Amino acid sequence: MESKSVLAVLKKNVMLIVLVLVYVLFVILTKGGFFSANTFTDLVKNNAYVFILGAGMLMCMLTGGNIDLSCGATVCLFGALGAFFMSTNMGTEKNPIHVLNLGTPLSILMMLGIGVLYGSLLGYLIAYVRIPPWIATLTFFLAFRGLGTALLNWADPVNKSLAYLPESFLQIFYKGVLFPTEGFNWPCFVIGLLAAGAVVFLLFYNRNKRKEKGYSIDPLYMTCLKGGISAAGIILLMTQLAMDKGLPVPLLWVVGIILIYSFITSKTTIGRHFYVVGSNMEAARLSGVNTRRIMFLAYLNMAVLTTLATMINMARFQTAMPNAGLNYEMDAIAACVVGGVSASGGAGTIIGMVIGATLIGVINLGMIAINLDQHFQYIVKGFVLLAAVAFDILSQKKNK
Amino acid sequence: MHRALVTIRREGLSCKKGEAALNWQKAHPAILAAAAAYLLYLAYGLFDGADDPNTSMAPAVRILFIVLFALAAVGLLVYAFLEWRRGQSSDEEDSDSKDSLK
Repeated sequence: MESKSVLAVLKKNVMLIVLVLVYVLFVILTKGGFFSANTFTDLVKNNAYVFILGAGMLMCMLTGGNIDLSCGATVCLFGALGAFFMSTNMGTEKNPIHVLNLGTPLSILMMLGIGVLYGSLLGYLIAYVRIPPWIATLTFFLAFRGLGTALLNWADPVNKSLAYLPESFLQIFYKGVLFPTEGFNWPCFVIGLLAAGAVVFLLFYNRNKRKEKGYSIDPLYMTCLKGGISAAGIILLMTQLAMDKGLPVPLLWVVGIILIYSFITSKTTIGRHFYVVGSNMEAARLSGVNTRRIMFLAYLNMAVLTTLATMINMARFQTAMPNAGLNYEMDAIAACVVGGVSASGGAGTIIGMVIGATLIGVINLGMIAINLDQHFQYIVKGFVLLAAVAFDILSQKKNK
Repeated sequence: MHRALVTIRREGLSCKKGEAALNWQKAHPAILAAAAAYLLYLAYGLFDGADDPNTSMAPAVRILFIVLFALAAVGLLVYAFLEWRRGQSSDEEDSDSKDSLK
């Protein structure tokens, strides 16, 4: 059994440190305004789609650096279809609006069904027909944006968008709050305390397990520090949410997805297969792993998660628009790459992706909080991207 | 026995490294091209907002960054294309050497 050095632990958590530094910078720039209950709620609600699409993109990237360029356009088309299924606005006699008004449950089921069908088709084309993923997904990217726009133009020729989604749908995916109360939301605070306790318990439990098996472990003080920071972070977040309105529904979706995918990637055989296929596909195949099935599942899973992100996005804007989901694929890829997911596959974690997505969310929200002109925001984003690309190319040359 | 195991492990590791490099060759140009597309989108965003009355950005700064992002995007696209070509040619060499072994 060996203990990791402090430098190694710091190196491993470099993005987390950057996240804290960037957050503190915005708190200073806004004279404390960024450290408000409202900001926390906005951060969670406005970036829920990045976490969900990031989880799907992570599974695709794990299989060998494969990406899905179509998810943003899929959000546009599925949003248009969903609004077509469920919108309650039938228009007037003079200006009729073509919608089905099927109600929330049936519309959700139909959207999920279409998501599974699309995922199966994409997975089949990539895994069994062997079309390179970027060509297959680029094709759907181009087709879906056009189809979504055409559907919206046909359904409502005047506004070219569909609104009036059922209230129940909005409550399930965006507007709802768990245990709503007047004033300080105590249930939210208690859930925060329980979650912080569970995280600390799991940290020490895993440390002991690793120690028993003779694996390398963090020094005790580092585990205490990690546990303390994690618990403080969770309690701080939940206190701020409790002071605002309570636990927003998008956070529940995001936490659910993170827990499920953390479990799948670290504790199940199928999850480990994704890493094996990404590390060495030939060796995985020779070891009896059904590599084609893993590739198929990666894209099927991505389509299902894109459907969920679409629903949250529709409920957020309460309408389906032709420009919905613009650049979402870039956000998801950026969250994964910033979070340490290897572009060549076989390495990366859900927690890393969450840190990457949070960092991007904090930068985006921070620029709005300091009232930065939208065009200056473009410049900041461009510089961050150029810095990332330069770092990537230089480190690649150094490795060679 | 021990030596044999070490050899197998070493072979496995080198194979794994080769596979990762192959994946990288495959995925990296696509990621660079996506980054270039995003830079072009940002440049277009700056260009499109030129007549926005609410902006506080000086026209000279705007033009400077439009040109900078556009040039960087073109450079990235060329780099991605060259990297893709290199990957293709090394793939062909690999298949040629496999054929000659047969």
